[in-house]
Amino acid sequence: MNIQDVLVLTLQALIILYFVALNGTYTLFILLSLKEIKKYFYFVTKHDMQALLKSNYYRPLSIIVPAFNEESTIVTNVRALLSLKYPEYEVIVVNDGSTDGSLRRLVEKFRLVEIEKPIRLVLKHKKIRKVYLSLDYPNLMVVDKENGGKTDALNAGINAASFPLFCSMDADSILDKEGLLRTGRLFVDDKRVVAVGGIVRVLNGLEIEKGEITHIHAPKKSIELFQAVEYTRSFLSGRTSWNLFGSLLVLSGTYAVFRKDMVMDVGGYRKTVGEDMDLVVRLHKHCLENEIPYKVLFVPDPVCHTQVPQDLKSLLKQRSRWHRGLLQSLAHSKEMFGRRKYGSVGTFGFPYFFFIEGLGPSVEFLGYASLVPLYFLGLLNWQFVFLFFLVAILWAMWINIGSILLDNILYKRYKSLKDIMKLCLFGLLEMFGYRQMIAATRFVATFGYRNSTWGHPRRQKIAVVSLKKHTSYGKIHIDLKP
Amino acid sequence: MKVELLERILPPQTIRDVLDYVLISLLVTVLLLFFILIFHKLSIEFTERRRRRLRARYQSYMRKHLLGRDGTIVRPRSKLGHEVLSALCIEKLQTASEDDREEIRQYIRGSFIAEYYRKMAESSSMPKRFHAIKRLGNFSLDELKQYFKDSLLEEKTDEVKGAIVWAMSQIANDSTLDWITLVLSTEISLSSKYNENVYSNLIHSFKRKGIIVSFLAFMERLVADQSFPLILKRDIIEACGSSGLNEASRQIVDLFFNSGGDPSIKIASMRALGKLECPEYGGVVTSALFHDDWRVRAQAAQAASACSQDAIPHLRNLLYDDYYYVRINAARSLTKLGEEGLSLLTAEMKSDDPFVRDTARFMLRK
Repeated sequence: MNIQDVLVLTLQALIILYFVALNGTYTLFILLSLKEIKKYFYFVTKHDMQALLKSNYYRPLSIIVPAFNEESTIVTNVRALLSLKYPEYEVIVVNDGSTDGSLRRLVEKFRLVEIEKPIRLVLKHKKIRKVYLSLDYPNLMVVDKENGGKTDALNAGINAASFPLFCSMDADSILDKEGLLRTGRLFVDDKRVVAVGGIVRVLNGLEIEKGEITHIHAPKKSIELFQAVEYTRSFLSGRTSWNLFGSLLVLSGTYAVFRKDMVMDVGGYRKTVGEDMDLVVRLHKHCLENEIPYKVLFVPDPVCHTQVPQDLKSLLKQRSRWHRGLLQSLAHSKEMFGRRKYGSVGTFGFPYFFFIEGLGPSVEFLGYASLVPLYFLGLLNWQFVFLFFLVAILWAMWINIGSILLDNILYKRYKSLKDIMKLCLFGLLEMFGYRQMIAATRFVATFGYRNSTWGHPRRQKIAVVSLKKHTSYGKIHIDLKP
Repeated sequence: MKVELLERILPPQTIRDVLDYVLISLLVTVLLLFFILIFHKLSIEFTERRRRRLRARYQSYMRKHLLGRDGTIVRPRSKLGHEVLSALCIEKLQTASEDDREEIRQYIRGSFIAEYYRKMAESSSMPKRFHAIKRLGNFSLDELKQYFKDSLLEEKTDEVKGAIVWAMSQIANDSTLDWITLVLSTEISLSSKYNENVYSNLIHSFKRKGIIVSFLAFMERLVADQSFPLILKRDIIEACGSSGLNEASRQIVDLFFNSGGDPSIKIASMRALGKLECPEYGGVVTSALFHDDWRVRAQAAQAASACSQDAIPHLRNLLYDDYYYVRINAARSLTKLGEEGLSLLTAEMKSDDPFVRDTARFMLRK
């Protein structure tokens, strides 16, 4: 056997192994999630939520919203946050040295006044310039600081927070009215809980009235539809299953709730582009090393809706950042890899994230790229390639339709059959270009994983329409216009 | 040689056959899933319409029954019917007056939905048992006491055991109080907030039944019993505070003094006294302002605003405490202690200590 044969065989084995491992785990996750989520719905009913609102069964919570140049979305977002159902909470917007009119708009719309609030400097961050309090909403505080990045802003927010729990939220996201109750109650049910995340959905295409989602439609643009399918797949089945194995390493930075004391113990957020995963991994490590009984949980409830990139450039930037963040977090806590001391996180979660999520895109990209040299070397069996690609399409289709079905069984999210058909179609189409493009982006990002540049995505305006019919602050239609 | 061996183990035709088989299986299951998805979507719409219709029908029956116009009680026949009627009854129970609540309970008894959930509680599925027990607990039917006690003996999971204790707390009386306490202190370990919630329900149940004296007697026993788990003691004190049980303030004070070196009882006592606003125990709160443990001082500083004007000079000193929380709470309390507190805080705006200055300014919103 010559070197060429060895190389070709190794490559084939690697690609098939990766293909089976990736699709196999997703298939398994869908089946496991169905059981797990059905169980969850028996536990949390509408009456429980109503009872929670009236009882003392909660811990007060601070919502931290880091904002950098979010002029177009910040007011709508903060309004929605101020109308949430939770007995006791505060909203802390950290203006991270915005150069647009974010702060001005906040000051005008919420009648902010400057105060001299003493803030403990437990976590390090850039200098705070001013602190504002709203005359209309006593639970709204705005911290204006020098630009230091998202993690820096979050650390400033944690220092300013008054309550034992805090929730990090992106400024371009809308939280479900009962989202805080659904996540917050877990900290009360079980004292070992240190962090909780929830399902994040695509905001594009929704209608919102008084901070509440009134109509759910599938997004209109293709790029948004691809992402809607991805979000359904990864949140619904992926994270629910990791939760089941007790190896949840990622809680979306878009929305997650943490115990403040634990986060302070690990030194708050670290300057990285994947701050969400990084913090969760360090919490696991800290608790396991110090033998602190703990739980990192995931609520299979659609608690938060976020705006997804509407143009290709922003999408690719975002995916590159996510992948670099994943690799940076894994590299920072590399001593956990495969170690029994770190329980299922070290022996199962960490290797999976490294081999499948971290190195997977490289294998996938190599698979596509190798077609060219193999063709020229005359080693390509077109019939086999065609059949293999067909299997890949059908398996991906199975996973996508399975996820959409799961979503439909459990959440009855989309009212119209047309929307569901649209998602199924884009679940099929993603195999023809979209998936390859994302794999290539992540492959490139693998080599530049040390790069910590954030890259600010282009924000879309959340337009207020139909004010004739709806008074107060109107009916908001997420009609995304650049 | 090796390639030949590989080809013998995995001949191309075998690979082709496997791929064909996988392809056909995937195609069939994808199509199947797709049709299930469409069918399911349509069935959901149908079920939702049926749910709405059933709800409207049960609502109308119930209204007539409560107004005394029609004594007939309709018994649901389907699973959906039971779910809809039970949800409706729970909603009504949460908002109704005490007289109406008894009428609704009569309706629950007449429609036999409790029996349906008792049967469901025998299921081998833990989530189903949990759901059934929660529903039964929400019905607050006194006759279920023995049933809950028996269920606990057979139950193996902590989740359902916790639900049983919660359900029992909704209908608690003298005999169940000791049972709940025994279960919480020996059988299961739940979070402090859960325990607090259970005892809060229990206090409300005692208040509704006019037997709060029995609960106070239990508190007396708690003071005397040194072997009682401290954590549970702390949670009961918290429950007294959050339920506004002013009658228990003396026992809380006794627990404060009898807790030995454990600060958690002292902290809970201070928090409860702050919520109960008991000026007669202002002296106790003031003495706690000098406690060695900063957490006790912090809670006492918070409670001082509700309990004692005499604390003002001490609160001023606490503005210079070593601990941030004590300082903040002291400043916060001073803002609530009338003119005297406000003028003291105004004077502190010129303090040499920058933290005290900032805190005073912040509290006075200057």
